Formats: sequence, structure tokens, C-alpha cells
Amino acid sequence: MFRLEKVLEAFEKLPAEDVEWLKKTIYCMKCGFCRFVWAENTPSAEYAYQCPAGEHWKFEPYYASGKMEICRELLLGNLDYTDKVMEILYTCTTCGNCKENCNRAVKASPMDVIQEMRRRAFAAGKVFPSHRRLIEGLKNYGNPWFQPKAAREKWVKEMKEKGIKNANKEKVKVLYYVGCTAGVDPTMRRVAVATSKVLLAAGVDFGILGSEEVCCGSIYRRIGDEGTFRELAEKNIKRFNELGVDTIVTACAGCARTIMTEYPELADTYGEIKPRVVHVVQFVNELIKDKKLEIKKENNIHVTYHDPCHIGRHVGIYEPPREVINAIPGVKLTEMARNRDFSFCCGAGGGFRTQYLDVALETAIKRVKEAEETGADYMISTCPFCYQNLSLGIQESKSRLQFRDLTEVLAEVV
Amino acid sequence: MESIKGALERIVGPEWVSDDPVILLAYGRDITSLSTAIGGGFIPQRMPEFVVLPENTEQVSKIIRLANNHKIPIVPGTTAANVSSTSIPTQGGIRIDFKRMNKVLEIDEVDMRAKIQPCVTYAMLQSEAHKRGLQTFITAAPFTGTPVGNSIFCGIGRNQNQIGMAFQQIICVEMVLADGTVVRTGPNSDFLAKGAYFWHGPGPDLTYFPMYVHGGFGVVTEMDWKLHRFPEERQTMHIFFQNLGEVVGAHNELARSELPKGLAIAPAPYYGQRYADNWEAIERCVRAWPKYVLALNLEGTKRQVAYEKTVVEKVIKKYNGRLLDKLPSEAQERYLFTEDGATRGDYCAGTTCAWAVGATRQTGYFAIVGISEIQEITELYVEWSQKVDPEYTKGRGRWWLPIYIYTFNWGHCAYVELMNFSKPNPTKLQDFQEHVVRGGAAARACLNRGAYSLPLMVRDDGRIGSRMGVYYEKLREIKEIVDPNNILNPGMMLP
Repeated sequence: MFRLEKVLEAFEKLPAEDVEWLKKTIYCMKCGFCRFVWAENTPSAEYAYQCPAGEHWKFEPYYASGKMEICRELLLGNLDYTDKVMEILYTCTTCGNCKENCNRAVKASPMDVIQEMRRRAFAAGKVFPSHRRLIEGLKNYGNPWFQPKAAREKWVKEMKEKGIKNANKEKVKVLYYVGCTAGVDPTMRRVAVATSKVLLAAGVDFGILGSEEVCCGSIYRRIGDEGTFRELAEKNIKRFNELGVDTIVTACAGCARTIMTEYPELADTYGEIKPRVVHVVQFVNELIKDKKLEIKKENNIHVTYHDPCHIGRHVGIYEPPREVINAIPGVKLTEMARNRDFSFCCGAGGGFRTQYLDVALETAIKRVKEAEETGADYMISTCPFCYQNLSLGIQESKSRLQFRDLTEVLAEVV
Repeated sequence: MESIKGALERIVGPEWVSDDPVILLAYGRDITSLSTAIGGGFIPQRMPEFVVLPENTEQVSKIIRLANNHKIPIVPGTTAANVSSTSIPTQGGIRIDFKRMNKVLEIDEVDMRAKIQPCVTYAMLQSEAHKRGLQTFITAAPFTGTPVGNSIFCGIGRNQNQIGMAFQQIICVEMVLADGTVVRTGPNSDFLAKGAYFWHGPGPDLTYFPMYVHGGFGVVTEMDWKLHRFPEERQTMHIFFQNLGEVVGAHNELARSELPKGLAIAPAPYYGQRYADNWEAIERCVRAWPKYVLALNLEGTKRQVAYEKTVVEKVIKKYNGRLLDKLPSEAQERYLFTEDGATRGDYCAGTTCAWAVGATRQTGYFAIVGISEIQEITELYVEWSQKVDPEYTKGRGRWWLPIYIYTFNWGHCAYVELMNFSKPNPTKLQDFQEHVVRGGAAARACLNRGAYSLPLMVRDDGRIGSRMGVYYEKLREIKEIVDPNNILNPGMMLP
């Protein structure tokens, strides 16, 4: 049973780092901001909620503030990483809404605490078999998708376009970091193809690392495997700096978040990344504004844009994709009820889809329904992982919507 | 014999019942158990034995009937944005988590009312009201709070000078009594009149039966709630004063004018704290800001607000107030943000910031006083604070928040929130509580086992009860009649 005196005792005994985490759990004052859209942004009673896991299970510990109770007890040594505790820690897509809203007032950063406790669970040897497979995939294939390294180049061969350079051999100004999902998942190669077409159309001098590309490590950090994440980060930072490129572009929201915001956290250990790192929507938006990329055709379609959590709440890229969409003549953009920093997660992130596929799909279907209400024909996003899950949601809900990556829409008009 | 868990599962379905200790853990605490600073909190964490999530009133009725048959305590709770320990079980039992009952069932635009379930939040209701050119009462609690929970507890807000407190927004309720009976009050008590808009049922109205007793007399499952017209123009004004007599003078004159929709006095450092998100910013606010702030808001047509503003400005001038047109820069951004959200979130975010940044609410005291008593009570509190808590006079940190006054009901009375942020000393606080009551505050808070009140207001030795005399005894008798097994949130209202 928790008592204040125990916490105070613990403060005396705990290492300084633990005290900082414990304080965060104590700062949580049960205001409930973490589970809702922010007050004045609440679009309706139906779309007031934000936490995908909480909205499925509904018991308190599945929301961030409830998880903070569990985390506190773990830090105090009153709980072990039992199956139930593991379930609670991992029923989180790490979408970041809890952190975003909490930090508007209380600053307890629940998502960071959850992430830290996952790291500790992993260090204690507690890993779901589904997550262990992700690690096995990396060890055996260099990616979590169990595809051979050579698969990373398959889309280039299929594309039959000239102009995509091998950055390992040729000096290029821009590295297109493809990422594992778009690189090796046969259903997602279209993102890599479309991205390359757009870059080629703009005359960008770019190359890829192909079979030598190393996973960014995002998924490993999300599931708590900090060691693997750091190992991959070290390799990538070193490689990026050796290449001598000016800019690293990625079309994967997960890779973008990891390289743009999480690698810099390791700068003291592995050094800073010298090239500028951007998501492709930022890069393309600049190209359009600088008149380096010409939109040659109209495209009379009605679209809605889904903000991926990774480049949305975690990086703050909200306007560039909208500016790109609005730059295409004929495209009509209608926002979903929850958008930008209050976008509802697709349900795929944080290792959630791997472990709780049914709930991830249920979450995607909720988001698809929200997209349908805009009257749009196309749901557009900028993340291969959202692509996978929302496409499945569209399919399972027999929605009339079609899913497209923004690069695909662009590739048709440049 | 079927287990309690089995019976609950039969009522709501197995996926909506839990007795897992890890699940229960998250139902045992709110800010009062351990608040934002390390030294805070005095309500120990206590877990229920079961958590159950019903979907409708029928299920709630069956759960309560089951609990009554087995003499198991029932503790209701909504979004868990609870700051008052009223959903922390005192004796285990069944925690009813209302999250599945979160629908705005109906909005009647003509009669300006909404029918809502317990887990509809203020933000949810406001978002629906806005679409129809209406607005709801805005709470000072977090926007994640619910009209049902907030009105049952206390519920103060920005417009209460003219529209009253949260409980005064209630038109009628549907509640489940201890034996599982479903009672509908007000217009809904008569099935022929269902949907009509009149204030009460036949005879004494039972609508307020569940109020201030935290589920102790009945569990609310539906509520008809007033909505108000969304104004053409809305202006919030902040006026600074250096002198208590002057701020109270201005306040009282404006209260009597019945012009401001909302009216409040706060020590300026407290107000500053709402807009500062770190200690350094608070310190700058304290240095930069005068002693008291009078906050008010005007709402209505543009012409009406323009006129009212001229009246307010005259009063400000008379009492040497300074209208704040620009906040200290460090607070500006936060201020603007909150102002922008005033129609929905209002200062709820500010309140929460204040609680979070400003350390903890060690303890506090709510009182309802007459307008004429504001200055007296304030001086009394300051005097007492200085006497028992030397740190208060230093004007630093957690000792910055001594008092907050909201005026309501057209200036007829004021809700005074007295907060003490020093280390709690029950004996001294007990003395203080009696000190304040003798000084003129009503004893309403005595019924309130809320966060800051339990050790003060309701004591097992019956000290408060004996002071309240017959009223307290009659409440106890009513409780024994309507809940003979004492299953409805036991220990919450009466010891």
C-alpha cells in the first residue's frame, strides 16, 4: 500500500535518476488532460478522446495517468513486471498525446515515463515473444520485417529509373534514407518509388544506401530495447557523417522522428549528425516554394490528411504536408475533426500493432470513420506504418476511402 | 453461491469487471493522496475490491441492488479527474467507473438544456453546445471534469455571479438509490411531462438529493443540465489593487451592480502562478505584480458589454485600481493561451498549472460567506496564517496561495477558498476552521469530505457534528432511511 512516508524513504535510497522518474509519477495529479483533446480544440463529444489504448480497455491503468500509478509502484519496488503489468506498459502506441497535453500544464511527461519503464522491463528480461521476433529479424536480416538485405534494393530495380545513385559509391548532395518499411515491405515499396520519382523530377542529386542501409532503431527503442537502439544509432550517425552529404531526407515518419529528435540526444556519446535531416514533406515543400519542383498537372481529388504521430506531435511537422497538398491544383483538402497536434493515432506505433493487432486495427477503423466523415475520397499521410494500418482499417471496414502516401499523390503530378 | 465477481460479470459482461490488484491500483489515489510536491497529500491510497464499468442505468441499478444485498460499499466515479478524494473508497467495495456512460443524449436548443450521462466532460458538452450557439457553465476545475461529478461536489466557475454555481445548472436528475430503485426528479418524475421544463417534481424536490454527498444518498446516472446563450461579445478584465480594502470595495460595488458575469478576487501572486510554468517565472510575477487582482468578465451584446465596461472603469477609478492591459511578459503567452480557451477550457488549465507548479494543496478550506464578510474573512485568514505559519510571511513558494474568492448568485454570497500550503498540522487546522466559522463563514464545507476537508470538517469524534446540531442529526436519519446498509460511498459524507 502506497504511503507518502514510503515515497520519502524511497527518495533517500533511490539513485538520482530514479528519483527524477519517481517525481514525474508523483507530479501526475489525475487531471485527465492526457486522455482528451485539449479543451478548446475539442471538436465534438464523440471526438473528445485521444488515448487509443484507454479508449479500448477503458479501465484506468490503460490511460496514461493510470499507467503512472503502475510506474510509480514499479519504481518503488512494490510491483514486479508481471504479465498484467507488462500488458499495461505495452498497451500504449506512444502517440505522444498524453505527453503533449500533460506538458501544457503539469509537465509529468507520462509517455517518457512509460518508455523508461519499458526499458527497465526489457533490461529485466521481460519481452513479449512478438517483440522478440522484431529483434530476431534485425539480427538475422537487418530489419524487423524478416526480409533479406538485398530486398532494400529491389524497388530500385523494379522502378527502372536512372538517376538514383548509390551513396556508398558516389558522392551525392542528398541521402534518401528509405527506412525498413518502405525499403523491404513489398506492399510499401511504392512509397520509396514515389519519393524517388518526386526527387528525380526536381533534379535532386540524391542517392540511397541500398542493402547497406541500417535500420534507424525506432521500433527497438519503443519496445524498450535501448541497447539495440543505441547500437544502431551509433552506426547510423557514423555513416551519415562519413557520407559527406548536405541533407538526409526520409519519407518514413518513424525514421524522421528518431533521427531528427532522438539521435541528437545521444550526441554526447556518438557525436552530432552533421547533415541536415528532414522529412520528405519538408524537403518537397521547400522545392515547391523555391520553384525547383514544378507541379505539371491538376489532380481533381478530395483528400483528408492524417498527421502521423511521429512527425506530428513528436517533431512538430504540421503545415508542410498541408502546404504541399494545397500546392497541387485541383486537390481539395478537408481536415478531420482531430488534426495536427490533436490528431488521433492510427494505432500502429510503439510496438502496439505487433503485440495487439486487433486493437490496432480497431483504432485504425475509428480513424478511418473520422476520415470518411470529411467526405474525402482519399486519406493521405506521410508514414508507411500509418499506411499499413490505415489501409487495413479501410479494407476491414469496407470503407470507400482509398489510402495514398503524399509522395504517391505528388508523383502523379510532377 | 455465485461469487460477487461472477454476478457483476453477468450484469455488465466479463470484460467490464476487474478485481486484478494491478487494475485496482489506479483507482486508489487522486491529488489528495499524494500531490504535486513531495510533501503533499494526506488521504492515503485505498483501493476498491472490484471495478465495474456499466453501460446504462439498468446495469447500474442491478450493480447497486447486488451490492445492497451483500452489504458491499459502492463508490461512483467519472473521469478520474478528481481532486477531492470523493472517489477513493474508504472501505473497499465496488468502484463504479462510468467511462462507458459518456454520451450527450440530447440537446434541446429551444429550452437550452442538455441531457447527459455521468462521464460527459465539460469540454465534450461545450463542444456540442457551441455548435448550437450555446455554452455551458464553465468550471474552474479541469475541463476534463464532468458536470455530474463537479456539480455533486461543489463546482465553481467563471460565470457564476449571474448563472450560479454548478449545482444550480441542474434541471433534474435520474439516480439509483441504495436498493436499486431508479428515481427521476423534476419534470422527468412525471412520465407525461417528460421533456417539459419546470423546476421541480410534486412536493419537495428531490433533484438535489445527491448533491454534496458524493453518491451517499443516490448515484446519478443522467442529468438534465442548463445551457446558456453564447454571447456576441465577451471580455475578461484584470484589475490590480495594492490595498485589500480597495479591492474589496471595488468588488462589492461591482457585485451589487449585478453587471459582471463572473467576479473573483485573488492575491496577485496566485493569479500570476496560473500563468507561469516554473518557479522562476512565478517569482518574477510576484515581484512585478501588485498585491491583489480583481478578475471579472462581461458578456452580452457588443453594445451591452461596451456600456458595462464604462461602469466597471468608473468603479476601478474610484477604488484606485489599475486595469491590466498587458501582463508581465513571462506570463503573457500563457495568459493569451488561456484567454483564447476561455470559452471552453477557461482557466481550468490555469488552475491545474497552479496546482502543478505551485507545489501541493496541503490542505484548504471552502467557505461560503456574505459579501460583506469578504474583507473580514481575508484578514482573519492572513492573521491566522502569519500566526501559525511563519513561512507564509516570507511570500515564497508554496505559501503564496492563501485565499481565493469567487462571488456568485448576483453578488449575494461568495465562495472562499482558503488554502494552506504549509506542512499540515491537524490541530492547528482544526482551530483555524473553527476560527473562520466563528468569523462568519457558513458551515457548508462541513458536509464536504473533499480533499482538503476531511481531517477538518468531519471528525470521528463528532466535534463538527455536534456543532451542527439538529441539521446533522437529520441528515444522518435520512441516510439511515435511504441507505440502511450504508453501502453508498460510506464514510464520505458522514462518519
